[in-house]
Amino acid sequence: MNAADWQIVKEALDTASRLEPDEKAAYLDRICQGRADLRAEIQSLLSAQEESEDFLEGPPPEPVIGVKLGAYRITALIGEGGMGSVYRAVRDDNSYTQEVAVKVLKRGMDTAAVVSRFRAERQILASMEHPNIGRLFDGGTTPDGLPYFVMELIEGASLTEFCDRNRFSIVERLKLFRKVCDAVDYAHRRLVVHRDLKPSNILVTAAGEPKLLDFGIAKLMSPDGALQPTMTFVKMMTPEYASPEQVRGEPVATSTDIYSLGVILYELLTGHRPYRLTSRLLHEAAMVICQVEPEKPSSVVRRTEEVAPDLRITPDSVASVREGKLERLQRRLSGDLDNIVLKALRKDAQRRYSSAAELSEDIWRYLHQLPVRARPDSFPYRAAKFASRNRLSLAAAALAVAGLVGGLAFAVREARIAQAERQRAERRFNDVRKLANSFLFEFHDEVAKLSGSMTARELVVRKALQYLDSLASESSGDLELQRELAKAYQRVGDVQGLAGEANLGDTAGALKSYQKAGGILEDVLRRAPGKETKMELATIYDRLATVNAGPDRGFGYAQRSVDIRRELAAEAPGDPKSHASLGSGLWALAQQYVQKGDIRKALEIRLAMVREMELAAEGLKTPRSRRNVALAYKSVGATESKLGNFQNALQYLRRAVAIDEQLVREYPDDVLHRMDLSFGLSDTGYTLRRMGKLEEALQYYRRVLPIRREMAEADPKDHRAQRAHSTTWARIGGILGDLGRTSEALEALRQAFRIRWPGGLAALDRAEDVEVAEVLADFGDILFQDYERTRNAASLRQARVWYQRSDSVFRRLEATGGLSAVYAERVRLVRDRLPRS
Amino acid sequence: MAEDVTQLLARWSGGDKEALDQLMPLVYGELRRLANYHLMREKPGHTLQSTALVHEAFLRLIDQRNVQWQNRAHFFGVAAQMIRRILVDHARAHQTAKRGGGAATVAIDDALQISKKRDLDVVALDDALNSLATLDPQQGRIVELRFFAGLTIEETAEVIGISPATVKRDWNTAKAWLYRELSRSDQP
Repeated sequence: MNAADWQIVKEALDTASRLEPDEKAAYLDRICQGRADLRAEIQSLLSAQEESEDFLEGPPPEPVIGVKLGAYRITALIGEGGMGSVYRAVRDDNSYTQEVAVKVLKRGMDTAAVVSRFRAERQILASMEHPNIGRLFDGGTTPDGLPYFVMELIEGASLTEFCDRNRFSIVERLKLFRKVCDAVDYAHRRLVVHRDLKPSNILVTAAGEPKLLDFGIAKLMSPDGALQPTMTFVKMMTPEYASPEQVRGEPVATSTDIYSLGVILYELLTGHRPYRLTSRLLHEAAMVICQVEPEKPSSVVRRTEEVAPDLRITPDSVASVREGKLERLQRRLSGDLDNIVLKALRKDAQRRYSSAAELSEDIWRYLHQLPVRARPDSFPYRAAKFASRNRLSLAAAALAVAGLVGGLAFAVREARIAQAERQRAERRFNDVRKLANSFLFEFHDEVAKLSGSMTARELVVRKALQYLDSLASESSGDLELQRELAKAYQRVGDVQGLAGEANLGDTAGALKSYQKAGGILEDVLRRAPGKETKMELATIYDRLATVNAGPDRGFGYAQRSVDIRRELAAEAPGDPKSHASLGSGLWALAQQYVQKGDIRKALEIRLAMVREMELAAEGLKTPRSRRNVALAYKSVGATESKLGNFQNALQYLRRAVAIDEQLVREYPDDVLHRMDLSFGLSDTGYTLRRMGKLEEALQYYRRVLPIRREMAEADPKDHRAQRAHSTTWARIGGILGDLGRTSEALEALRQAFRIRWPGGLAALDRAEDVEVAEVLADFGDILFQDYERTRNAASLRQARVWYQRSDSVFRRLEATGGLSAVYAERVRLVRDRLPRS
Repeated sequence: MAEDVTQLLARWSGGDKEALDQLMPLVYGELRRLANYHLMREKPGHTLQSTALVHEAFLRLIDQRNVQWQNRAHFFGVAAQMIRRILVDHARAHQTAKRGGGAATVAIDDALQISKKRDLDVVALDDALNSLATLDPQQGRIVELRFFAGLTIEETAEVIGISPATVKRDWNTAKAWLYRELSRSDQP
């Protein structure tokens, strides 16, 4: 190809990359004009273009190879770590070719101190000769003043990697681990503590010999006793292997290495680490390392852990490189090996193995079926630990009650810390979660009773959400936890805006929380279908349907709830509870159809609901299930009545009334059943009135009245009770009006009015209440009916005064946009009867 | 020294070929010194920051009182070539050394992240880039400035004196071409 061709190819490449596939071919045909070589060139570059997006986009590689350090010349970079970079190097004096590893520390370490400590320790470090310890040859500073160490070059895999790759059994792993213990013991007897033992510092050569790297290096960088180096330590090392005393910044001894050996052994045997820290903050890491008790190796192997987005540790993955079968692995680990590992891992350095040799010996005992020294923690010891743990919870609770904000912040912080190592310390996590949850709910309910507590309550909810959100983003692996989370979101949603409860009136927020809960549970269900999860999910959809923003969305939620409940009922045929559950789902779905205005569909669903409720009550026979049957009858009766099927309506309503009357007789102290009865009676009255059976209707309403009065008088502050009482009087007034008993009718309406609006007419000037407008119009109706019968001009005049009053309330409502279209008919009637101006 | 380099740059852009020969070792020396310094200082996971390096060298070598827009552009052009040369020289030396030893895996640290970019064969890239420059010298310069000097599309456009859109187009097609050439050379 020549330069001219390249210009064509370049142009074509640029254009073709922006074309749709079908346009591309035609374009290439045109541009190449039969030249197959150009065509092939462009094709090959087009596919290269797709892969080359990131090509050359990063920085170019570094030029450091070839630099001379003392007698050594750098030949290649092996890797970069927290402390610095490690290079491969050769002796440069041509005397002999020996390859070594050179570790160059990063800038930012206390260079001068490191170098001087190295000089002090050099002798002892260089004198360590053990087949399982990597030799340290030399050290110095680079021309730029950075400390470096020349070490034996060891090629191999990390301890854990080696064992997994070779599918080592537990016994093989233990044998290899004993060699590590022996090497550590050798160093300890020379008073050299490693301080940074971890699998990646223990390489296993192809010959199967473990080699410990970097012995003594960590000490050069962190002198005893000072806090500052500990901060550095946590930043630059892997804190998962650090001992409690190390993260607390206390002086370290050989017992620190024993602890790290315990962590390594834990990982070697189980594939898990006792803690998986997600936070690198010192105090958070310290909290976990110093307080959380690790789970027993024999039980941790049952866990699934997501250690990285693309890396999951599962019971299968663990067992497959060890004993093959999970049960076998568990049997091997439980008992002696649990005790050995946990003894090495004890928080209290005094209670660990006193030397690496002792740990090694205990493993030897295990391997030879001799009794091991390690024992599980005694009961009094554990009980004491438990009490001290709970003292913390109690303290947190006390704090919270004393100061809402501070207390919750404390709980949330606790929870976050727990979250960092959640899969290791579930018990503790659960404590914190429960604590935080009970904060939110018990607290919220208490605080809600105080006036002016809105801000505080909102804060509680906001904090709880923050906490849950952060938890949710990191806990996708654990299904149980997911379900707990969903429950917590549901409860937050309830506090935000569940109608009928003390809530913050934040329906948008509630909707969001319920959606989160629903999303989580749908996911859990996909991964592990289960009855409980389905039940929980259906409950969430009911809530969603109740707080939904638009009628159509609520419809979808209610439908999903019904579908789930139907599945559950099908899975457990004949189970009365699942019938009850399906019944209540159908109830909510019918409500949605009523809101949509599809009364016929609502009726159909309610009839289905009746069947479910009857089946449930047959099995359960509880007052509650019988009450539900009555409720179902009443809902069908009310719908039939609306549709004008009065005979059907009366049939269902009478059956409902019979059940409620029976319940009232059986449970005379339970006000609920009397209230239920009152609804059945008033619906019957309503239907009879529409049938024109006015006297009968009146009788039913008069039976309603004493029940409603009782309720209203029992709690003068209960607005719903007052309203129900008032409405009964208004209905009675309406029927009396129909019957032409005008003065009685007006008296009944005055009763209705007084109950609801004790301030009288004067208080109505600014009223923006549609029910006020309705009652005012009711007065007008009665007087207008009287005028129509008697042609009495005074009645017409008075009727118009009431209609005028009603209309001004309707107008105020219209002006503020607070008038629902449902009232259009009522408003039209009122205005028709007003004098034309 | 700043004055020397500024003058040499001016002479070179005035057409004096000899000035470049004198300029090269000065720029090269400074860049190398800076490269080594930066390498030791960089955080793990980050490698050489070519842009910072070139800018720093520019500040050190060029007399800022007499600096003109053209000086800056020329300097970047030279610096990009220099960095390319430094890297290729090292890579050649590295390759020679590597032929001696086997390629065994060496684990050093859990946390170590060996960048994939390191696998890039700089010597092969250099060869491919030479071929590309014979087809399209401008594209060769664009790659040099973008990759070796770490300049952005806009900076590259400014240095060469063409539109950013052209730089972007040439850069994309050059990458595709180089990528394919390098994949070919991978095959036995």
